[in-house]
Amino acid sequence: MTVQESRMEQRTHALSRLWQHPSYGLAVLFLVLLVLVAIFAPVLAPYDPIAQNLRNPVAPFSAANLLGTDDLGRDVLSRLIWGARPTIIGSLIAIATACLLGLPWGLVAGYAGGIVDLALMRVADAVLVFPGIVLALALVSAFGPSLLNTMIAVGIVFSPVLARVVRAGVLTVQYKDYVSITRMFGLSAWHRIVHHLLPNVLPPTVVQLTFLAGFSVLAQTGLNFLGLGVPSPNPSWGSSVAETFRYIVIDPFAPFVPGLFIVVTVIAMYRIGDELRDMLDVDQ
Amino acid sequence: MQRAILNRLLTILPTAIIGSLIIFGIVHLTPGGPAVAMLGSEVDPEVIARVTREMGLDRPLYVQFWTWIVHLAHGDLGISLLSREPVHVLMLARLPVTATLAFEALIVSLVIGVPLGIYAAIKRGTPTDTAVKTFSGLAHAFPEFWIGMLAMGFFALYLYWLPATGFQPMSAGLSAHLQSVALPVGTLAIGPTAIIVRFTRSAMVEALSGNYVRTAWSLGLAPSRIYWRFALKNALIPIVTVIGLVAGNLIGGAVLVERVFAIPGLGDLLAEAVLQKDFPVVQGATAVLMAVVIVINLAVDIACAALDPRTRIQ
Repeated sequence: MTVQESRMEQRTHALSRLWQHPSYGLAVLFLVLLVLVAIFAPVLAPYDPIAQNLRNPVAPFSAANLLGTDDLGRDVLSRLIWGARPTIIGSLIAIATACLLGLPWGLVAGYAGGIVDLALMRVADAVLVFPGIVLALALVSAFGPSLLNTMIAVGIVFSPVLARVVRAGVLTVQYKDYVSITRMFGLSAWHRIVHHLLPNVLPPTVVQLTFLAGFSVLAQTGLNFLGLGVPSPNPSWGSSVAETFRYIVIDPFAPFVPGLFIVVTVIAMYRIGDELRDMLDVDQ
Repeated sequence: MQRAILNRLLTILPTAIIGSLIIFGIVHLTPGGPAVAMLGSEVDPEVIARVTREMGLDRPLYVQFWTWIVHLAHGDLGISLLSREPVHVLMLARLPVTATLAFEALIVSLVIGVPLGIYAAIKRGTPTDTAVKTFSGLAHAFPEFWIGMLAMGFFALYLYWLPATGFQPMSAGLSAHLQSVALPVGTLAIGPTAIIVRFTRSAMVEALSGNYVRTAWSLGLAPSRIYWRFALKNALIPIVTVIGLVAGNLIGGAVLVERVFAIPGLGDLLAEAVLQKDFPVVQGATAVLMAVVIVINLAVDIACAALDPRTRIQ
């Protein structure tokens, strides 16, 4: 079989997994829909997400307001639809930050070895000693509470995890015979990176990034809940849950629906991560 | 044994030093420096200059770091910008609350998680095992603050069984204390329980597949004896190790759970300080929480060394 054929095979294999593993197919479908909802929020949302209607507060589910209204008479569904935007943008910011820091961090540590490796990994240990949300909070207090800063903080918190994974990937191939031979033949470092390093480092990195996406949604909504990230009255999922606090005495079940959006999204992301791990044959 | 403990103590040093550098660095990363961040950029530059001088922010960074570390070592964490009280006084008032919550949540998650994990391992491959695995897989997708609010809505505001918010210390009476912590501790315990179940299950599965267990079966020993004497004893190390792993989880979770249930703990203090840009409190709370995690992990390692001589070799 030629390389091209085997790649084709891999691709059809990846696609057929979508219906061979229905829960994975559903997870992918859900995330695709979520991205579409975020893009077309202005068209899809039945109401203005910040328009108040104080004559109709804490309304139950109805044809006019499918998921009811909050204490300011705002349409809950519209707020959740618009809230998909910061959720997705925030995840992308966190992933980009973690990659920007974590990839070079792990590559340099794995490649350089020795004292550089030791020093870089000690820093990773030290960062990982902090409970994630505590370090994110401290960083946000310094950077300022915008969505961009909040998610950069989340990315920073996750970057040592990525660095460790990347470093481990580098170490597994660095001293393999087929890599040493490329040195003997005087092939360029670039050749080694593209043909030997990346194929070993990329799969575990992609899997970790999928888990980071899930973690970042939890972290983002948690920080939203504490009043950081998306400023009020703009809609976000975390603040949609937090805002139900104001009328939880009137409607004790109000937090359920907005939180369900968070949970389903995170489960979908973790499910895809699990599937990718099996598909790409990554050990944990 | 003593050497193992000493070795472990030495490895803490770099972590603690780098950790304090990070905490110190964070505040000095602020755009315009801490003084501008605290006062806002619209304030008269003269005022900013005065505050900078008063707080010693104009001295070289390494001098400031050294002073901070020396003060930290003496338990002096500075003065809160908001309440004007010494930070260590604020922390000491709140540390017992968070410690109580985290400790009780740890006990709950061990009491539920360990037997559940053992049971799932023994019943490996059955629907019970699948159910336990599904729970432990899904549990970390649930935001703690959401679970907390749902629990509050259902048990406190719908059924009226428990108080919705607040904290009663043990000194207020056991029943009052338990009522006030039931919901927050239950919420806080869900994540760690899931982790403990997963670890216990896989440790037990591994121990049960050992040759010595097969031999024990072939000798016709009673199943209870095999499970408890042979398998569990060997599965114990990973189970103890996981306590260190969930320590960070418990403390991070406490920040959100304390906010939900209006419990005056360290997490609540930290969240409030972040919103108010009260830097000395942010630094102090972060440093103390880091120290707590380091100490717990140290204790776990010492416990492992005591339980299993093999882990004493570094």
